[in-house]
Amino acid sequence: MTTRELTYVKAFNEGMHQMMASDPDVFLIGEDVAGYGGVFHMFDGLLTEFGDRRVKDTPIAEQAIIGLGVGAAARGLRPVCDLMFMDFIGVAMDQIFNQAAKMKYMFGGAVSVPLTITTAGGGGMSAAAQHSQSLEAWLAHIPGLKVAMPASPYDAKGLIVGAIRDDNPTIVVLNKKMLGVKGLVPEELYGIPMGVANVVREGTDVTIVAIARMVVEATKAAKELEAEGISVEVIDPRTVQPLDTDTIVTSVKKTHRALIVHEAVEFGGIGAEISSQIQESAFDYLDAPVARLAAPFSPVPYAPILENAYMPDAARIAAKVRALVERS
Amino acid sequence: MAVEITLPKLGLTMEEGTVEEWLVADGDVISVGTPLLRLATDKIDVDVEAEAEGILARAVPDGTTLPPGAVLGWLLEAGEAAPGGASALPGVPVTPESSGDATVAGGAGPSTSGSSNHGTEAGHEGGRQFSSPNARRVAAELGVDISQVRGTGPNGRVISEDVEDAVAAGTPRTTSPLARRDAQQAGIDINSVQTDSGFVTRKDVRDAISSQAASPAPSNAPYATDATPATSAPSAAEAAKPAVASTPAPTANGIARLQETASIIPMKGMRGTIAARMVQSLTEMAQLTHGYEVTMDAVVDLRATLKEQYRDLGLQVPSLNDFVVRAASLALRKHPILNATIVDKEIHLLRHIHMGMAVAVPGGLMVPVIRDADTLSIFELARVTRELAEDCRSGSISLDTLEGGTFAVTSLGTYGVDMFTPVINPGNVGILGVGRLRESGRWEGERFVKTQVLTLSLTFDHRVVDGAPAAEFLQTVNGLLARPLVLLPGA
Repeated sequence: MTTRELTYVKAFNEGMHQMMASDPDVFLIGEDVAGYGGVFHMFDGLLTEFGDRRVKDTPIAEQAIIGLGVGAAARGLRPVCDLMFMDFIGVAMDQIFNQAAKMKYMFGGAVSVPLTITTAGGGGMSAAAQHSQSLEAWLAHIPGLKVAMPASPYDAKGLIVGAIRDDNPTIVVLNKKMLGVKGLVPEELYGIPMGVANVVREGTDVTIVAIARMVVEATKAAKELEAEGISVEVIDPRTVQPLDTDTIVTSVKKTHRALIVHEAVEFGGIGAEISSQIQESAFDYLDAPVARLAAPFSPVPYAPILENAYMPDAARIAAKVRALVERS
Repeated sequence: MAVEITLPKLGLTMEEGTVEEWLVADGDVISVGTPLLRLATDKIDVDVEAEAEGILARAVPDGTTLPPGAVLGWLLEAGEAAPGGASALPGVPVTPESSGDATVAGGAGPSTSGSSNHGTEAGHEGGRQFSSPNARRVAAELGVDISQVRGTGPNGRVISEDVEDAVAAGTPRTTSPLARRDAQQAGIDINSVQTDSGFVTRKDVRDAISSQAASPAPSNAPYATDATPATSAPSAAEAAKPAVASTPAPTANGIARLQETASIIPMKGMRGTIAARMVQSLTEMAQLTHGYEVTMDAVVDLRATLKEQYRDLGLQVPSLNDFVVRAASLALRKHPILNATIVDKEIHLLRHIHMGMAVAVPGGLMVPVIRDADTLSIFELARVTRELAEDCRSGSISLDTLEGGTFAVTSLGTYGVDMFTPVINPGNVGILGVGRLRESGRWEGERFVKTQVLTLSLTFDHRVVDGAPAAEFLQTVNGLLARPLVLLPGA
């Protein structure tokens, strides 16, 4: 397998190219995805390579984009519908949670909806409260939806391929601040199935479960803590729905301490779910309460200084870990 | 109504205090003003006095470290039960004296107290011991009674490592630090001390000492400070304990350890703070010391004049050291680089000159701070320094007075030391040592004249101050001491 360094967005783009080339049922629609290649260049070159029958620009009408995708998927195609900013998903929510997520169940399995929704979430770009949100907990709460959140170039490619191959509606949330992050990516087509966590780094003292870009910050913190003699295991669940509880629990049984980090608001966030699952499955193995580090209960601030204070980072992760392992 | 005895906050930055020792017994009738306990902070030790009257019910044992505001015990009315009930008194065995008053122990009779008592100084609230689920699982697997394990995790929680440590140490029970110290001083193996509960108290150690003294075994006084190898026969307690192969112990045939501990001074409280701060100072800073001889003739003459003219007025004459402190305070205005602190990678020159002055006290030293020392007249300064020194020696100094110094002066002159290398208080960049006033001589033209001098020892942090500017500061001090009238007024 040949690997080379690609950016996160290029790796995603390569996954799109390879899936569209390998499966004629795959097509793409969304705002500015064809002529412009997507506002984040996620879809560069697709129009040229696959033509305007398979790569379509749409009006600014999110509900229509998803509605079209649901119908096409129910009839056997594999649509990729782009929602640009995750913050806009509310407009299309009825199509997502009442149609896409329910159809297979309501028709007794006679219909499946192999729909992929792509979008970009996360803050750190001073893009203000309506363009910076992390709403994955909303989506993960809906039975029938799958939610992938790639945290590396390798996963950006592997998860878009895995999502398109999956026979159920799947939302792939790219992280805006990671678009330029580089990493090794195989040239070949490969898919990562939904629900398989990645043990990014092995350790023995504390398990950090980090979501999306927080995986990068947690890894940075883990390196810093290693110098202090604290061995940190970093787990990226990759998909928050389905959640790979087994991998997380196995790790916590080994380390006896857990910290969950995400940039979404802490209250009702995915960290609360993970925390609860850990204590249900590994209570007798815990040496400390399961800790969370996430955004405060507030919209994402616009001012860079406030936004920095709002988002968890490596320094705060490290401080939280130190508190977890503290002994007097 | 039960009156709470809380841990007082003695200074703005005080984060915790340790109950060194209760001075009155559980169940004693207390009147207002009775010293209840000796409290140690990292800076000072104080006695906490009763602010109300009542019957003492302790909530925590000796050695407990808690934040300010924590409840240490209660003063109860006759017949009143402690608010926490018996369970709020973990680790405090009901003593025979108090067991007659069963209400104090919340109705728990002495016969039932022994088995239920366990304890550590932290990790308990309302009688509940905090232990992690994992610690309980490991304890169950290893067959350890977790109530006997001391918790070191956050909140004093027992974590699995504590259980493993306890197993490794082979002593899954707890002892108060003072009990351990007493045992060491008495030459008794703390592990051999009998206790009704899992918590070894000073009383248990006293009992062990007295039973040993009463036994017919050949033994000197328990405090065997002058024990020679020939007379250091094993005590009854030592003889009773199983041999520990790895520890060389004195044996009956007279083979002694090469280094024998006569007594032990715990490095805690003030001693621990001094130790930590001195090591911190010498490892963090690039310290070096200039010795500089200053002429004191003018100051000596002025003091002689003042003494003579003040004699009948009963006015205090500022000391030699006061003049040096005054001169140093003024010199710092001219050399602000020495009145500075390092914050991250920046040198912050400080607006105010708060002069620390080292005061030797039994067992250590304190550095009370003279606020805005440069604004005080020499007479105000003399009064403040005298008061601060007295407060330090009497133990009535407040914690706030010991904080916030920007520079310090320390004197060993009265001990006959000329030159020394003072150690900078962490957070400062300089400290000035004052040596002995001594007679010297110098040539004035062809004439050799007698003169009085002393040596100043300026230790400075070379990260901030270079050798030449440090020397210039000393020149300024010398110049001021040569013109002592300028040192008299304040502001």
